[in-house]
Amino acid sequence: MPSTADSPRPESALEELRHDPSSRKRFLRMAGGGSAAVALSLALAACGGKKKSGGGNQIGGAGVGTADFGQGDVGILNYALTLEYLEADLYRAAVATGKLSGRLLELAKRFGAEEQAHVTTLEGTVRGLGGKPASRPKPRFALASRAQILTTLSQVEDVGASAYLGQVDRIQSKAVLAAALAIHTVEARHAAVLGAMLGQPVSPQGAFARPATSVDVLQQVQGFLSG
Amino acid sequence: MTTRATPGLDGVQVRGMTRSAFLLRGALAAGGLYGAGAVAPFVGRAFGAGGGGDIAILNFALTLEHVESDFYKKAVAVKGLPPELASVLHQISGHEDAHVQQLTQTIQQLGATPSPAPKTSFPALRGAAAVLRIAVALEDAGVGAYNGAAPRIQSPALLAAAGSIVHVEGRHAGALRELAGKFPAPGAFDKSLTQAEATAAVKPYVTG
Repeated sequence: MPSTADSPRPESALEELRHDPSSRKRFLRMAGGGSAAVALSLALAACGGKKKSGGGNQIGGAGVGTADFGQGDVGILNYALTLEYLEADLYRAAVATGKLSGRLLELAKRFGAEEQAHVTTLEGTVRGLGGKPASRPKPRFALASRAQILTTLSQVEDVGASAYLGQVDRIQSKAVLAAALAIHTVEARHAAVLGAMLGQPVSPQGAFARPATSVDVLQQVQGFLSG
Repeated sequence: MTTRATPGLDGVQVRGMTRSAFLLRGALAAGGLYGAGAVAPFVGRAFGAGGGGDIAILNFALTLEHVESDFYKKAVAVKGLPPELASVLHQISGHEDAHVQQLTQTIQQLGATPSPAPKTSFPALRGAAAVLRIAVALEDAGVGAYNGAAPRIQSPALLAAAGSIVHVEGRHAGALRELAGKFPAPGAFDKSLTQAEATAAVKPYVTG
């Protein structure tokens, strides 16, 4: 197994969890479930103080954080499914406000349908792997105006796209990886168009996009999930 | 580990692609993420593990990047485009140039010779529609090429890097399609392309 110690990213989320108890508690509360908490604690304990080397899949089966959603690829898929539930519900709520019109309304309907397709596929894939789909969160959104809706949609799509990017090197099944990639670039398409409506660059991070760890992602969507 | 079928994946194409294209993109992206100097060691390991035609694949990817880079150099020179389109083309042009530069450096760091830039030729770019037609085709093909090749990448670090680039390709494609009056994504799942299909997509613009 080649070392990837020169790649700084995989360790960072674990380090954060290990050294920041409040972050760990918040994460566990968001992810919900005592057994999941036990699983993550075991994964953290197994790491001890050792400097980790090697791929993200060596910890908790699915890498930092997503082990809380299940082992290995099932955990990653359920993590993704949780975000897709959030996105699908957000688009549904946004359309239902009646505050959108024109192209943004058209896009919200279309993107929402695409997110729902992701939900269906991920649920089926989790079951196909012998797992149980993640429980659907009951998110709350503040959608008082067109501007607030657009900002929220843009933010959630940016996070979602970065979240997939953060998992691509942790997925073990090539079929699951292909599916994740096929979804990832659709999220990136969504993110770019919504960002453009807010006057943002096509790719705010430039020629090379940065991945997001599950810890970062869950912190960014915490406000929707904990309401 | 279960070996059961995954019915949820039925709608997703899993096509074989050469992993060379992935390695190329990955190496390029890794250089951008961690600095060109940091990329050489793990790229070298990945190539050692992957064997054979990785350099050739890197060079194939470089060729594709050159085509894109050439196109946007011409596109940004087109007069009278709507300001928003002109701005997007300028941004994308910079990204493609960065990909070419990083890829070239990576191949050199691996002790190989980068393929020379191909000779390209594009139809007269008269107006936004003509520019967008080719831009959308190139970007959608780029997304498909990366997504098709990535599952064959063996190094997690290179795979992450390839993901970093295809993410940006996806953003390009989405923004351009929106400007072209299309839905940003052709469907809920992006289709992958084989290397042959990706080559065919740029072939009309390569003259030598």
